[in-house]
Amino acid sequence: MADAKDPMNEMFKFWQSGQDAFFNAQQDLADGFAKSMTQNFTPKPTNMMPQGFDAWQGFVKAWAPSWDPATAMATGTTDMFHKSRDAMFSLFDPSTWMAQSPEQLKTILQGIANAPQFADLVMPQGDMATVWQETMDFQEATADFAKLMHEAWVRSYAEFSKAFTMDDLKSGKVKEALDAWLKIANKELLDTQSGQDFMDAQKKLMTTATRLKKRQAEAAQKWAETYQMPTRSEIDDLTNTVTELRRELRELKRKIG
Amino acid sequence: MASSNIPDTAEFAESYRIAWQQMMDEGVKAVKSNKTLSHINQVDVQIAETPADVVFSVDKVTLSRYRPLTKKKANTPPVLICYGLFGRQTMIDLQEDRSLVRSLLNDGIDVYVVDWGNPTRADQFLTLDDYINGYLRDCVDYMIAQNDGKPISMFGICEGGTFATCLVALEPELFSGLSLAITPIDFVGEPDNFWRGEGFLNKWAQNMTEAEVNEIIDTHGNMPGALTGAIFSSLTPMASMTKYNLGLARLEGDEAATLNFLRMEKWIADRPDHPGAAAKEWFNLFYRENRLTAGTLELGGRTVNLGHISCPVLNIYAEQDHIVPVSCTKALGKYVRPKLYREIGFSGGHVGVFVSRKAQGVVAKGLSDWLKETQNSKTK
Repeated sequence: MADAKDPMNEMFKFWQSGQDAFFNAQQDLADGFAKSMTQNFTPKPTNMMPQGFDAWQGFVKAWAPSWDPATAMATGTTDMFHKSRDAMFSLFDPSTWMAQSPEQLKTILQGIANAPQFADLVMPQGDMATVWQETMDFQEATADFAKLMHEAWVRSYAEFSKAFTMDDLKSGKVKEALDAWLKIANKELLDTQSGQDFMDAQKKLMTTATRLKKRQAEAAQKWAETYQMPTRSEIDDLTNTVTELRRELRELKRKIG
Repeated sequence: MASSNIPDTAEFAESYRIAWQQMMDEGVKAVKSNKTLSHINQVDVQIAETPADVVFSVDKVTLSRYRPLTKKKANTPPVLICYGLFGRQTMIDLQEDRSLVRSLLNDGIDVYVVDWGNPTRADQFLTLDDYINGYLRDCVDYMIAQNDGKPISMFGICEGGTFATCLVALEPELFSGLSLAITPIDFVGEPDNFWRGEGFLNKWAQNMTEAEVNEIIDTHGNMPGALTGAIFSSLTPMASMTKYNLGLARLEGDEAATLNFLRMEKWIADRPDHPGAAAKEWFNLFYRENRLTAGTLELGGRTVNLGHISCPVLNIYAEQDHIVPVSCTKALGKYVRPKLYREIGFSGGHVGVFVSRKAQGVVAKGLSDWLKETQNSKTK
């Protein structure tokens, strides 16, 4: 049995509670819909807060211990944001929860992201888990890449220290030392860049960054759809059609000419 | 030599004094450079000023003809300069005394240049076939019509050189000569013989899968110019990192050198996005699969056979080229009959072929002499 104060456990409970509330709401909706087909229907008021609030409070306390949601709620929204802004932002900052147990979190997120799809259920938690997972992949790739480059700089400095010391600087060889540093560091960086480790780390950084960029584009697309605006993919479709038409026109012109 | 002793206070003070003196000396240089920079405005930094007129255009692509700079006329066919899509053709005319275009014009050669325009996402579906068999071919047809139906000479640079090579191989009857500079032909080359830093781009592209290349480009629509610019900068890491401090300071306020530096900056900053579909083909078919030398590259349903090149070929390469390895460009020699093929090796880097002062004597003169020697229309 997991410790009740375990952050992962709290997050799980919060998630479960949200899921339960969501299913209950779906059930109410289905009941209401069925009744509306047969008799006069007044939607049943549903308050999901009581069942979800405790879980949410536990979740927040586990992940942002410095923030007391009960007090914050009691003092009003404006004050809550004013006093506990940093704590709240830290909740959304991946570095807050990454440091706890990234592998465990990744496994959970993967499970949520890969959950089967249901045709008539909206499952935003799946999308959210995917974005979390991709953010973590990007942060991991950034850290791996930074470590690799840091090691290259350390090697450069070690190499430079072999050739130049304080004695050399004392004798007035500062410019010479600077030129040597540039040469040594350049050599070390080029060697690092040509290595397989660098190639793989850089590729991972680019592909993970690309996936986040893709999510951003998807979000923009959904927003445009919501507000009845032309979407990126609609414009791309048109662009593709115009390109095809231009090709056909060129071929026809050549045939005629 | 290395010393393990920790310097005492007096020694430290002395070394501090010397270091400070040296820093002051460097600081004086930096102040001089700052002073020069403060006098220079954007309008003072101009590139590609040789007068030219747009004579043909299709979609975003324009063909310009340079105005003659001399009354003499060389007995050579008109030359079409074709740059790639990763940069701008303005590099061939950086400034008056470092201009390949001016060198050719001063020798009485008729020079045209193709400008691909500024691709946006509206151009993301344009393929290499569109650029080579479409736009480039359109420009060539126009020039041939102006040249009384006679073939023209093509000068391709970098990726534009590969485009030119493909078109000459597909339509050999349209060309009297093919000259190339810093052009990749074999995209693998001789990795075992690469010097430090050489062939990074080849290895980088070959380390990606087709799906990874496509995902990056599809997500952006095009290959962002900023991304290719960052990759090119990383090929000379310390020079790129220190050019705005040490590099500038060491110019010591020399106005001509500073203006030259700023013109290069202007050219570098103007890096267009590479149209997406064409970029995917460039990285997958050329860099990853090396189809051009394998004889399996198809454009517009036709196979590009390098053995079909039947005109004289001049291949100019840079011995310290970080972007296109020497072995990748010299590979063309294997596919062209020896009596038609000539090389000029330039002791410099990828861009130095055009922008260094030395290049005007070696590259521009070499190209001009070769044109007059191999494509003299009076002796034909």
